[in-house]
Amino acid sequence: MSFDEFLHKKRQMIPRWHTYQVARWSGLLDHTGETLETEIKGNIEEAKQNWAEKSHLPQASELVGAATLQNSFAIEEAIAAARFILDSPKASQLAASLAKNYLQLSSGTHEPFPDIILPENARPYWDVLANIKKQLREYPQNYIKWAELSFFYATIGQNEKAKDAMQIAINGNSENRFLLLSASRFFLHIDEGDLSLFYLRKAIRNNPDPWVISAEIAISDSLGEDPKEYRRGLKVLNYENVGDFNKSELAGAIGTLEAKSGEVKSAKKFLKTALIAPTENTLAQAVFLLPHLGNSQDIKSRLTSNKSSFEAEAQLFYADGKYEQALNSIISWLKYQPFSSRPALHGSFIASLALEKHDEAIRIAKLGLLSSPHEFMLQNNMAFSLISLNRTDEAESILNKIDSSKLSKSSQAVITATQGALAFRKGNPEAGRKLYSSAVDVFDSLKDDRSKALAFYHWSREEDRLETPFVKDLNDRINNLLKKTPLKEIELKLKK
Amino acid sequence: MSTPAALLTGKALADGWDVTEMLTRPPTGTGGHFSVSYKVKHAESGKEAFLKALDFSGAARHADHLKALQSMLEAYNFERDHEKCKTKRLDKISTPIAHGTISIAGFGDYSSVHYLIFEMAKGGDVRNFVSTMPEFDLAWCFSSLHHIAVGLKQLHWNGIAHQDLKPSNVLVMDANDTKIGDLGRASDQEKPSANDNPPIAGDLNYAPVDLYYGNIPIDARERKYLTDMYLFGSLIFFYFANVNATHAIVSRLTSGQRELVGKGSFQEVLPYLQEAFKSAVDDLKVSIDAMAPDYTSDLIEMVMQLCDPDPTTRGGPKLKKLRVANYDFQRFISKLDILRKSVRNYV
Repeated sequence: MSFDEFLHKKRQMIPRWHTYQVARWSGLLDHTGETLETEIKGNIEEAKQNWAEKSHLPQASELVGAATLQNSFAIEEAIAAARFILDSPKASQLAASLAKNYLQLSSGTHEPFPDIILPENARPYWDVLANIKKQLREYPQNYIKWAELSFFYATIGQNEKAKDAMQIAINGNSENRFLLLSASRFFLHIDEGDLSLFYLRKAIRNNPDPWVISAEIAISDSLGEDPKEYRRGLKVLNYENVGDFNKSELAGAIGTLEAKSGEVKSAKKFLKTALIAPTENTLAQAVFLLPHLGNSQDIKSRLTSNKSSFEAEAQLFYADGKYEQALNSIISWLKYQPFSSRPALHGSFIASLALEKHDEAIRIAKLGLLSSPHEFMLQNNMAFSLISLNRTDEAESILNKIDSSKLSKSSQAVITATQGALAFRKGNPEAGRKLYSSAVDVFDSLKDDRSKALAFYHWSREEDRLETPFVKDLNDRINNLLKKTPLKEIELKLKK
Repeated sequence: MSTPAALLTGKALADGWDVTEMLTRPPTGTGGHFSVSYKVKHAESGKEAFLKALDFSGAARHADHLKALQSMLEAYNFERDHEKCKTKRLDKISTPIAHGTISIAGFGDYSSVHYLIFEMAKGGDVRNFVSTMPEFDLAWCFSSLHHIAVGLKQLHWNGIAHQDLKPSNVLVMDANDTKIGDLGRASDQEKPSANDNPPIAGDLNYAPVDLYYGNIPIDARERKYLTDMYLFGSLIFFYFANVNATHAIVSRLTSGQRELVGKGSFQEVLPYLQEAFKSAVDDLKVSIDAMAPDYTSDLIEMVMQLCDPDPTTRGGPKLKKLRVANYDFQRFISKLDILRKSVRNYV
């Protein structure tokens, strides 16, 4: 991996892995149809009459419950009964929550986005895990909680424990959409994508759920396999009784495949379908595919309608050179998908290179290392920012822990360059120059001009700090490279 | 518009009963209960009783007139003729002490009003009793729940599943006696009836969600008993929080998740119900803690076993190890007996 390869790595329409609260909020657990009519046809008239005859708590909660059961939120008597419950000092917590829920839905207020706190260290996650384990001791059949246990274990990098918990969840129930999508995303996360496909394909045989088919297509593609459900996916996109939101990721996954095979016209057609009622994942995918689609105005305008499209926002802000906003969106994206290293990679890179906020870069890298303790690029970014703050001992200790033997040539060159910076800061410019030069040679051999330009840029920064005569030559080399490979973050700084 | 069943006040019935007072107003709209309740008094003994007059004209307001009529007749006949309830000493089941027909002129085909007379429940149904209790009475709650559990055991022992247990069918005969009423939706394994076949025979507001699905690997009769078990657990929700289990669970789903109910397979929706169930039980725990902190763990353990949304695990794992059916009520009867006695000693 080169310095910023993650920025350009091919993105797939891989399903998101959410906590249950976020998944509920996002609507991805809902029925795939267009209407919200329930099959439950309880006797609301009787409940109304009972309430009219005796306006006490039991009758009030019976009416509010009956109306909720049927998704009927405009019944005046039920609204009055809900208010009665909330005004009653004798109302139980259960009754009050029933009433609050009813009034919220009858007023048309959307449930607020779940408040997610991003802990600075693993301690709060351990508290969350302890609470989930307590819940599971009380009710082990709660497979949603097993999936949550897995989520939080993965967030702190305990993938073995996360796998055990996820196996219990998916073996306990392999037909439920939330469990299927969570499990398939997790197994891919731990490089066991074949397990993802096993569960997804088994489920699709009984129920051609568009979300599950979308996951099968995207994960197959990311594993380099031919998706088995592509044709079925095309069919499901034509079902009129499947809502646009429920088709969004499936259309996005198929559109991505089309774009990959160079079928731009067809890709645009599917992305248009995907963007009618997009999920945040679809928006992020659409932003990734922007260079293949031409005008991005349509996508930009849709971002405001989806308040959790953090990844898409981050990408668009970054592309526009709005690095502060990009960083804010990345922090939200990290809260949203804390087990993923991608937001932390983006964030630490932007904070250090574009914004030179090295404290922030260290913080973000640390957050990412909670879930991905062996992600060398995060370790490298953290070491680089520590070096920039002259905290050389800490940086050296991190760099020493990286096992370069398992890394690609390009990744090894990235580490060599960072070691060059360390040598400069430790008062050994000759060694620094040698290391930078060696890294540049590797990038040169790999024809990786972007990484070469970045290596020269950081080298130049160190020479500039020592006020040596090499700065001009290095900057000339950078400018030559920038003619071939634009690198906005550096161009702006060089102009200054 | 008035119906013949609503015009019985002041009438003298056969066997010496006089109708003295209407207790519930006749139903309105297209839904509602198709019966009107009265207080009756025996002319000779002076004994007061409760009369349920069937309003067959109510069926005419129903979208499926004939089906509604058939259902009413089945319910009426089941309660009127059920020999087992009369002969097997089911002392926790409210059975009719008299029945008959009275004609109210001017209603054509619907002039005949069929009625059943039951012992008077002095406290009314449990909703009314609970609403008018000056303060929460834990001893009464345990005792009342114990009586209901005994009643269900009596029914199950005789091959009868109630299928419609809910607060309005729990009758407070007096402060020391609770009985189960309204066997109109019951199913007797020895006496086939229309109540045997519908997937949901009782009130949809109370029914466990699994009843919307057919493909659950449990014997049909056993499933009816397991439904009674859920409905009994739902009464614990009601006694301590005034909300039934189904409302507590299903209200925790999103509107879109609620729409899933009854569609696809039960396994697709079950994890959501299990998560919602646990969350509802956690809230119930708060209510019980406020009223009876010394008994929270006992009650919550019972509710967890009784109301599990998955009927295959309902009843509790401990029972399954014993060679006793998991819908057997004896364990809960014993537990509630211990609890009610301990409250008395405690008080």
